[in-house]
Amino acid sequence: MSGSREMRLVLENVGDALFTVDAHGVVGAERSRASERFFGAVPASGSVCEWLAATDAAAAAWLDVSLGALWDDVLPVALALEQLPQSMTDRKRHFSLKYTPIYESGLHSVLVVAADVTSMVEQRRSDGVQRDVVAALRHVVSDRAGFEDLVSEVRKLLLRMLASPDAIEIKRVLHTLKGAFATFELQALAAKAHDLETMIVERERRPSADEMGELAGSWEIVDGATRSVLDLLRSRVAVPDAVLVGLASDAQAIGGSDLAARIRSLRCQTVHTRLARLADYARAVADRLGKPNLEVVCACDDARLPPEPWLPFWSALVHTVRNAVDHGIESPDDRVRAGKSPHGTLTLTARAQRQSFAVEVRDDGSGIDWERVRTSANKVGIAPVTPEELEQVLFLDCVSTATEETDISGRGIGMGAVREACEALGGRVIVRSVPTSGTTIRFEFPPADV
Amino acid sequence: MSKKIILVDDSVTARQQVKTALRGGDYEIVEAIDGDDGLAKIEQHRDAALLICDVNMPNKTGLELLNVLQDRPGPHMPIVMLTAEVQPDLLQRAKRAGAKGWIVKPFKHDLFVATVRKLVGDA
Repeated sequence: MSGSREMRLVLENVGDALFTVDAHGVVGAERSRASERFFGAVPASGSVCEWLAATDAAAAAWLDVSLGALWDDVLPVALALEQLPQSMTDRKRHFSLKYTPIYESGLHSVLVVAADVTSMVEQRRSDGVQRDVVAALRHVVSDRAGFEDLVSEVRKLLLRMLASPDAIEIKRVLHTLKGAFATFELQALAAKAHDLETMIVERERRPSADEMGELAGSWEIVDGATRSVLDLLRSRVAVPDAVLVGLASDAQAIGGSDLAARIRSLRCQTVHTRLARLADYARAVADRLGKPNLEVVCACDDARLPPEPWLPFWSALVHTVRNAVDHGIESPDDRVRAGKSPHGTLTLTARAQRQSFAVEVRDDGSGIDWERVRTSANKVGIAPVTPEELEQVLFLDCVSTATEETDISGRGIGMGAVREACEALGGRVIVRSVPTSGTTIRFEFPPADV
Repeated sequence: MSKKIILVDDSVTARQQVKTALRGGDYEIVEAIDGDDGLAKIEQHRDAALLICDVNMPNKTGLELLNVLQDRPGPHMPIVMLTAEVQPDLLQRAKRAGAKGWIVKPFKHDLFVATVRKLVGDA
């Protein structure tokens, strides 16, 4: 293969735009195929400025005037090269530009290498916006009211900016936006506003609709990410813990012990949150076991419990829920054969009453097969006689009625753990099972714990 | 004998940067704080070897200053513009009004010194 053919193949296949520009600003005939793919066909005049102006008119004009300086031989070549444009963009694609002087008894031409860096620029931009989202969420949590003010101010300012024909007004709006963004550590947005402001100040040019739209688009991402969190928080009031404790002791002092207890309970977790989490878990287990569309009913009042002492009970209650879905509720086929709807229903209840606080897990399955419980007990050398003794077997770690041990249940450990956790809180467990109708496991606690 | 350089820039920081860059060389720096002050200093120091002139300034921009100088009888000292951003139109006009070239701020000290040396004939 001849040298020139080899070079031709290189130019046809290299990913970057490679071309030379001479002292008259004319593009050399030998150039890589990517050059035209990036910037379109070179015009008949061969003028680099005219050619690149279709992609980025400002960068092309800059290149034109700066290339001239290179051949003027007034500035040092190193400075003249450094002052050439280092990038260009048509806003959809971004290119980096590098220059190498070519000498042949004096400066002959400049080799220009343009690389498509669009994905890198976009990645950097999206990283910046993501950092702004994190900063925004931090402020939503620490200073919700302040952030809400920012949101309403920014929305108004952006509308004013996009609608204004007046560069001076746009500059003023951008300056205000920049300050507002910076106050909330939204660095990428502040930098973007600053760039647009600089464009007006130094180039005396009104930013284009696209350029302003880019700023508005980045704000939309931050606004959208924080909106759902703000909506959630808007219906709540955050009070420092110390204030709540002080309020409760004030109520106690004026003899309102009921009120004091209610105030103290605000520091506790709602039982509803716990039940909702268990309900999600039950549905997921049912799906995995081929018992789809499990209906989970949560019924509870606004009881609140201190998180610390109750944590072991809620953790252990998972076993009860799992057993109900795995062993209690039958497969869709079995349910249809028994004249039931194909999907089961699990009811999770938590209610505070005058005499007690009770949590119930009820399924509408086949009920406990007591004969199987007896057989399982016999296998490990236990011979229950009374119904009470038989019920106790359910809570023995070594006994499982499951026919096979799965990753979901079957080791017979869970029921013992939940009873232990219940009793640690001064509670007791009551089992009610009706053949073909289902099973209810009820945990009753003294009212003082609620 | 040290060479005289007239530096016209309304920014104290920019003037300080130029002075810092040129500290090692044998130069006498005459500072002016805006266009009008620049014209006065040029009148007083007609023997200066170089004029370094900012573009955006109060009381006559860099370009306005150049236009006034162009109408004055020579001899003319070489002029280099200092600019925060390349504005092709403006630089073309500055060139037509007598500027030899331009330096974009912020600049690298070594390149700045090399430029000054070349323009005052020290290179």
